[in-house]
Amino acid sequence: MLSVDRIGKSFGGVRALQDVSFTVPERSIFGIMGANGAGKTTLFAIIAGNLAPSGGAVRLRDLRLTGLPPHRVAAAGVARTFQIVRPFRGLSVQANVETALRFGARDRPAAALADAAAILGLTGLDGAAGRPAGDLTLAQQKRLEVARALATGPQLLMLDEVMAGLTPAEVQDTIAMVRRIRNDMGVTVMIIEHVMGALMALSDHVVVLDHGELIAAGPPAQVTDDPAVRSAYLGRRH
Amino acid sequence: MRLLAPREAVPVLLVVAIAAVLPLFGNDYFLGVGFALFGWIALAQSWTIVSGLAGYISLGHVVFAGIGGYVFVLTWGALPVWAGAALGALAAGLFALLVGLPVLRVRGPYFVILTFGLAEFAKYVVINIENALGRFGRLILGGPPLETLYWTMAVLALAGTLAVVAVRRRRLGAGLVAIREDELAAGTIGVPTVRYKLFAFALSALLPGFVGALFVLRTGYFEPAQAFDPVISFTIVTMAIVGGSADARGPVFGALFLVVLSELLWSNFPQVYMIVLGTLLVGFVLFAPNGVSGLFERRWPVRGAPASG
Repeated sequence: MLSVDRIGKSFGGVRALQDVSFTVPERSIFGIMGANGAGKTTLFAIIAGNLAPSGGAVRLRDLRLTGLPPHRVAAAGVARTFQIVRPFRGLSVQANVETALRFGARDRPAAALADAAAILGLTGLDGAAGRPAGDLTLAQQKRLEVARALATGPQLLMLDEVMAGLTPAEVQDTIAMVRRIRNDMGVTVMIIEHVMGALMALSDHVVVLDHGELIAAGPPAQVTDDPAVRSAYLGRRH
Repeated sequence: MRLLAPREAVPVLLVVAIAAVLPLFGNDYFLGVGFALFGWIALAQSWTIVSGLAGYISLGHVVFAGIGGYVFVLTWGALPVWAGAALGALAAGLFALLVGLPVLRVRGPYFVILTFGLAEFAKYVVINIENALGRFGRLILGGPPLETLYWTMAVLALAGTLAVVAVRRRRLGAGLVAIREDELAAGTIGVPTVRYKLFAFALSALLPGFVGALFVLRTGYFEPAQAFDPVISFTIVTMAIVGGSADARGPVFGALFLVVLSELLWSNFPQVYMIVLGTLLVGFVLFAPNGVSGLFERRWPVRGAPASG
């Protein structure tokens, strides 16, 4: 459903992404691996329209997303979370979600959750609905990122390290939540995650970025056996 | 349309009640104070749309009143009074649209300084035009009586209050608050940030343009240094700080508080007026950052209401 075609991005002399191409299949869970600084978050920012690429194009089905402002990308049905959380701190958790419900995608999928209570229930925030978002714990703010992104009624949801810093039990809950978002709501999910077990368990497809270049793509089991991936993660002599 | 919630009804009813009561005293002093009060309410409500909701703090809102007053005075004699005032309002809105696109690209303290500088720039442009034309102030003779001005300003105050109530209820208001809280996140969830900011800026300029024309009618003359006086911008911000700017209550409380205070102090202790004002401002910033309406909220929290905004 999403095609990334020869995307490149330079910050001054630093090449954050170089000729990255892949296709995300409809209704898949699509994992993105790579060490810190490999360009994963930059890729999300480019897809969401927060950053303009230096070259290449992103398409959602037939629609060219590259060059559109972020709100038009959201209207087309693409949502993202922020790795460094950006809640509307002064607003209640409920108001955060309600704001996203009033904007977001123009055509919402039939199975998209349309009321704040259901979204807060799915993301485990129902007990915190009335609290100011700025008062939540970091783990709760990460869930609020997911809740707010879901409230935009996306067809494609990009999750950026939503499991970082969670306990093993919380990671299991989050895995179950991501599965429900895909299976029950039909949302295609792209996920950046350093919790490797979770990424392997969830993903149908994985791509690996290393210093801005795509070095491997395929099913998780195959990718982790790839010598290029092993040397990128573990060094050349291991 | 659903009925007014308390935080919406209080400022609306307060404006209507004050407008109805002041003429009962049957003397021009009270009409004059009411005229000033409603002028400040209209200005502070307008300011709230772009600065309170969207968080783009304007320190140059006098520029819209100045432009409105200037355009009005230029049409004096050529157009009917109210057509001239309406044209002043339109000119102010158009000016906001023109400068808004570049000005609204900067945020935080840069926006504050830029709006202040823009107002000063406009002031000196008008001063120089007037000097070049050999005009040193323009007199307006035979304007409407004070009572007419009073009621017109009361309508503007009510319009400003209802505008804030209406904007807050609509998608526009929710989007502006999202921009205030986190502009990047707002855009990413689908808020058309550039369009909303520009619309809010233009909206917040319309009523001040009209108010500027009424100020000219009240004083009976136009003089650029007075029409573009930066103290007017500072006073608007002070009213918002004292009253709060999260909703339509703040500007009414703030304007009421400052106008009553200044009337009491000017008539009794003119030498301490600025000292008291400065102390109050520092006190509110330190101890009640959400103003008088924030204090009410803390004392009598509204059940089920969002945390703020």
